[in-house]
Amino acid sequence: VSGPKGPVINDLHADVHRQVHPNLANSDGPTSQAFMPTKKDKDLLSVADGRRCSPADAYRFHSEALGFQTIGTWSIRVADVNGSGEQEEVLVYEDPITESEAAEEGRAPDPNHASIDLRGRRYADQKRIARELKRRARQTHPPQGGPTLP
Amino acid sequence: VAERAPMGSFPDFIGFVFHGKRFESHARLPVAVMPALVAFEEGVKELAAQRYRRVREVAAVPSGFRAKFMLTLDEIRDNCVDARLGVSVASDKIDLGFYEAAKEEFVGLLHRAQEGRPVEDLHPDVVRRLVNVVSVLDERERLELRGGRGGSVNVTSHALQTLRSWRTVETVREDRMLLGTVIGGRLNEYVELRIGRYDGVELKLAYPHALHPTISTAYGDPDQFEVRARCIIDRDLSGVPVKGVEVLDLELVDGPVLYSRFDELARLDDGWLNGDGLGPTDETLRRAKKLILQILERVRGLGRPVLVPTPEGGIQADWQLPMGDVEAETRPNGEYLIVFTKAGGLDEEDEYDGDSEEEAIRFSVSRFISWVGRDA
Repeated sequence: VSGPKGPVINDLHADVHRQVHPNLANSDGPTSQAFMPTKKDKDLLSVADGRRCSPADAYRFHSEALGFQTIGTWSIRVADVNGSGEQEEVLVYEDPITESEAAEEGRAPDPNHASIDLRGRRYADQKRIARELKRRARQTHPPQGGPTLP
Repeated sequence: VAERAPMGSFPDFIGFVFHGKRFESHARLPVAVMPALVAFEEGVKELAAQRYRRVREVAAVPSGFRAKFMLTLDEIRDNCVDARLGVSVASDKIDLGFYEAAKEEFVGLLHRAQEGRPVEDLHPDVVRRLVNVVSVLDERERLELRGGRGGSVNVTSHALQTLRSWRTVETVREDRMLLGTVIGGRLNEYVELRIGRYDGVELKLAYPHALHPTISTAYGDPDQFEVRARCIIDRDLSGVPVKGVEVLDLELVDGPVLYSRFDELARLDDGWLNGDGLGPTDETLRRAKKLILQILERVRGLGRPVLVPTPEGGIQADWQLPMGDVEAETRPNGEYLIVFTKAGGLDEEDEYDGDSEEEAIRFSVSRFISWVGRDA
C-alpha cells in the first residue's frame, strides 16, 4: 500500500493549509466533511505544507494550477493536527506530487503537497478527527470578510 | 401495448383524449407514460375490488383480479390518443361487470370533484386514486373522460381543490390519525397527523404514505412537501381522539427550502468534488429525507439543518445549537453516523453508529429533546 513519500513534519508551530470545496461549507465555514478524505485519497487527507507556501499560494495553486473549486484556505497548526486524535497522534507527512505522478494523474505536480495520515482508522474515528480539525482550523485566505460563503 | 391487445374490451367504455404535440408522432403509447392513465386504471381497479368484496361478501378478490385489467392506448385521431380500457386476459373468474360499475362510479366521483360537490365516507384508497388522477394534470395537459352516461368531464386543478376538502379518517391511534386528503400543492397522498394534547393544537405533518409503486414512479418523489396544520379533533369520553373533524391552516413548513436543497443534492453527479466524490443515490436521499423529516416532525422548534453531500456519496445534516453541534450522516452503505457534540469539546460527544433506521431516528429524537427540551 503506497503511503506518504516524505518524512513526518515535526515543526509543531508550522501550519498546514486545506482548501474547502463550496459544497462542503455552510454560511459559517467548512463542515467536518471538508476534512474527510475521498476514496481516491486512500485515507491521506491532502493539505499544503505551510512551511513552503502561504495560504494565498495554496489557494492560487488549487484554483488556478489545478483548476479546482475552493472557497478559501483554512489553516491548522501541525500541533493541533497531532492532537486531533483521541489516543494516537495524527501525523502529517511531506508528500510531494512528483512530475511523473502528476503526469499519470493528468494534473500539475505539487512539491508543497503534504498528507494528514488517517490510515488504519475506522470511518467514525476519521470523522471525529475531521470534526476536531474543523474546530481548530482558521480561515487564512481570503482573510475574514472575504468572499461570501454559500 | 400491441402485445397486450385485449381479448375482451369495452367499446365506448371510456375514452381519454390527450392534447399536445408529444402525441402527434406516436401511433401507440404505453400506459406508463401517462401518469393520469396509470392513476385512473388504479382507481377503477380499486373501486372494482371494493365492489367485488362488498357484493360477494368476501375479504379478498380472486387471484389476478387486478392484474388482468389494464388500459390500452390504441388509436390516434386528430393528433389525440384515444385510450380504451380493456382486459388483457379473459377469465371466467372475473366478472367484468364489476369493472364497468367501478368505471361509472369513478367517473361520477370525478364529476363531483369537478363540480365542487363534497363526498363523504369514501374509502381512503379511493380518495388517493382520485387525487392521483387529478394531481398529475397540469395546465398543458387536459384529461377528457368520455363515455358512460355522464357525458364528459374535464378534470382540472379546480377538481384538485375540491378533492382537498374530501377527507376521511382511516385509522386513529392514541396520538395520531391518518387523513385521506390532499394537502400542500402536489402532495397527493395521505398524511399522518400527529395529534397533540389539546384540540386545535398545532400539528406538524411529514408522513406521506407509500403510493402504489407504479404511481410513485410515474409521479416522481411523493415526499415533496412538509406540511404544518391545525386539526380539530373529536374525542371519546376518555379523551382518546376518535376522528378528525376539520383541518385548518394548512401551510408548507420550510418545504421549498429543504426540498430544493435535496433536489440540488440529487443532481450531483459522480466527480462533483473536483473530479472526485460520488453523487448520492436515490436510496441514500430517501433515507436521509426520512431521518431528517422524522427528527423535524418530532422535535418541536428544531430548525432546518444545513445539508451537505459527503465525498463517499452520503448526506450530512448539520445543526448548530446553543447546546452544541449535531451531525447526522446518512451513509451510502446503509449506515448512519449521528454525533451530538456538546459545546466545549470532543469529550462530550454522544454517538450513534449503526445501520438501523429506527434506532437512528430514536437516538436522534431523544437526544434532541434532551437538548431542546420539547417534543412535538
